[in-house]
Amino acid sequence: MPKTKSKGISPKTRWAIKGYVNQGYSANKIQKNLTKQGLGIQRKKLLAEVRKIKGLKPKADRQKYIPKKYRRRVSPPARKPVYSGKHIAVYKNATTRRHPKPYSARFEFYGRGKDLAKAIRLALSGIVPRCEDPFVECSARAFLNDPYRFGEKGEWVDRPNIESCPHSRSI
Amino acid sequence: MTDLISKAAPILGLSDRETVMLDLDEMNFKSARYWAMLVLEKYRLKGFIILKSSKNHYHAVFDRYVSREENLNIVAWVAILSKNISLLRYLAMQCIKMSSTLRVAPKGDKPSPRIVYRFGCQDHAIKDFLEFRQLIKRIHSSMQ
Repeated sequence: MPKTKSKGISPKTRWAIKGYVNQGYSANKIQKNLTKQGLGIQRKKLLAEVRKIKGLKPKADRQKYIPKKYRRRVSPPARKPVYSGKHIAVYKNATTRRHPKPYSARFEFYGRGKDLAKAIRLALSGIVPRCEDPFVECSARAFLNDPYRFGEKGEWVDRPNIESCPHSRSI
Repeated sequence: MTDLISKAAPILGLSDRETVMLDLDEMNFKSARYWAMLVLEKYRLKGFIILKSSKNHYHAVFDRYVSREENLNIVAWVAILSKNISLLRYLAMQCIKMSSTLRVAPKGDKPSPRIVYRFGCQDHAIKDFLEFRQLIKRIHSSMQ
């Protein structure tokens, strides 16, 4: 039950209603008594005040009892936040013209599903993080707007097979 | 549409800072489940799922969201106790990037990890993980 005070009810009226409710009067009787005392009150406000004093919860799903044309416009349910803390990681070894030696590279994208799909597609088409900054974390939208801010042209490659030298065994 | 996913294409994974994720390599299913259960009890993580990445390679994801520091603490605890070198390497990468990543899409000949075991509550971090995993899988399949 909301704790806000009902608007337009004088303290005297409120006090009278509380007394009547505690005595177990019905809403009709309370309203008649109030009118006799010159404390007339709108029925809607009286009922709200009575419910508040009795501590009754409002009936669930009240909107369905109201004709559609009188219903209060309700905003659509809030969308899930775009950035939920989870990222899509796109990672492997990469080479560029400036750095022909493969290095470990990774993009971490966050954002909406469509943007993520487009960003990954763009990354797969041959944009890799720079060797100087191989771990890039950015929003998918920002990457789509300016991919060369976060990476450069290059290739995703497999990890090179490095065979350890038999003489260089650790002791 | 051209097939963007070739053998040399990069791997797609899910990265998060506040979900406890373990990369349990080189251990069988029973050991993976043992360590997951131990972590669950010690850190009260509500529930977990185990995904099979390949033979003797498992991933574990836990249900309770934790802080970044607690996440590192948990992974370090398992890595030290289990004496698993791969998990120590995973921890080192987590320390560098400050987030942990698990593979979602196929990698070379390996298929994408599949759920093999569920335990306890699945309503929080696991639910979000599976939703995001689904998104990545959809993106991946749209590129083929």
